[in-house]
Amino acid sequence: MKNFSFNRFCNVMRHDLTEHRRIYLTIAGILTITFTLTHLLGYLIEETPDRFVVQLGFVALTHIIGTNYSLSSIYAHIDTKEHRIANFMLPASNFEKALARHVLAILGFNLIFIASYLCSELFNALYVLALEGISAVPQHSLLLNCNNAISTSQLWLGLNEILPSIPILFACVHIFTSSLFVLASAYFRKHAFVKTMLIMFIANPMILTAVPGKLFPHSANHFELTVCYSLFILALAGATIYFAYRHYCRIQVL
Amino acid sequence: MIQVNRISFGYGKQKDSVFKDFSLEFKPGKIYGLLGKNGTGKSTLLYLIAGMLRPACGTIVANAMNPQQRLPEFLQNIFIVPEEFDLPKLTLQQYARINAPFYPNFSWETLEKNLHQFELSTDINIGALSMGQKKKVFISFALATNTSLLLMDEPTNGLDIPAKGQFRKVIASNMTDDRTIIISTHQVGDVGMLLDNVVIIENNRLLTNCSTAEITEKLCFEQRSLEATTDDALYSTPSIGGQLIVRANTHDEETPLNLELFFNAIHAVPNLMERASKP
Repeated sequence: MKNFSFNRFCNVMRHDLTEHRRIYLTIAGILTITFTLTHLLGYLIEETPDRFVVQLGFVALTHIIGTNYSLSSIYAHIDTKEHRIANFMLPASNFEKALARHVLAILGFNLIFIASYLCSELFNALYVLALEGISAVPQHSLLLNCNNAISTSQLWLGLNEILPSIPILFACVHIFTSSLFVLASAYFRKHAFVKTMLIMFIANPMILTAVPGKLFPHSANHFELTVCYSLFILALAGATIYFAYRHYCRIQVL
Repeated sequence: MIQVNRISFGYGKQKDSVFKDFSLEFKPGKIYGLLGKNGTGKSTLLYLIAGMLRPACGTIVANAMNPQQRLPEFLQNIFIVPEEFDLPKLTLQQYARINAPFYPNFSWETLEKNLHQFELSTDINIGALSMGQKKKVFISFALATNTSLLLMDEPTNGLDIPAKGQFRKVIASNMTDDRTIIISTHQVGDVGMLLDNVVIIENNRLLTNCSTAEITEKLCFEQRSLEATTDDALYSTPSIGGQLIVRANTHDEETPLNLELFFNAIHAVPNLMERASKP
């Protein structure tokens, strides 16, 4: 029998999804309410020039926090002795079990995020329709205005001028930060998100400033260095996720 | 078949505080009673056999595999019923549907039959059950997986009085020649009649691993009055209205096995079985 069987992996996915479906529904509910309130607030203070940029920033921040929370719960399901027994005794390989958790935390969370966002857009459209009529719906939709908002945002343009490769840099650091949450979930298990956030408050200045500052100070315009730095960060993130998995494989029940 | 070969295990810094150079063997087709005082390592031994703990040294071989690797082919042939467990808030049908595919020999008929014997229906919501009822469901499911190894840690704790009898019936009806069931318990009265073999562990050592037939063949368990002589007793202890004694079975007598008395006797006289064998 191989260490990976697609059939068994699907069974593990179905098992996890069914067992934790209440958690996923709760997350979907919280996100839908949060986004709906964001739209409502934006609608009420529509005279603000950068309204959509602020809203978009909030949605992006929610995505970052949500992703990290989701990742910090990858190994959180084995927080008690009873849960560890149930997980370890499930007849699937460690790799299948861990991969299923990663897929659910990343893909599952993003699907929930998109679905919740679209629901909130629908609610937004419904109350705008009720209050102002159909013609006002497109001008209050963040989804339809986000592209325009980004291209005209002074904040974005300013950042882009200083550091043209900011999206790549941001994505890489985000991936690395996220991998730290995975590692933390394997080691802390209980309250991994809160504990990791506290550590990140101390470690972030070093990660985000010191390290890129040393490696990436004036090289923003050099494509090769950007690629090298990105690959280095991605390799580091990969190693971190692997360490978390190795630790999971070695955890004992007591 | 399970072989525990010279293992050492301990919690914390002491690597051999629970087991030191400990060996034991479990054969298929038998129901073992794993007995011992509190803290002697009964649950620890079950977890070691299941691969959920790693011995500091020595090896464990179960179904010709190393449990520590937690391979799917090993896990699909072993089921553990821990003393405390957490079942998801699902209906029984949902629970069985998501877990059954992992066990190639799972039988829905057996599950229904076991639940019926426990006076439960298949149309139940696990989340709404009491702890005792959840235990009945879990035991029913464990037996329905038809794994060759079934480990149970205090399975009768939390079961009501009728359920203890039902438990014995369910276990007996699901026993097969290629299955090994190990029951770790303090409730010897609940499972005594079920057992084929008795394993008693104490302070890092194996006090006994013998069949119940061998025990009753070698020993007699009696209650005598306070005035009666106990010269022939290998062990005696006062009881309500007299004294309980264990003596050598010299005339092929048939007395029922008193597991509690045997447990106390073997702790007081560790070489009890050898002494009973002497002419």
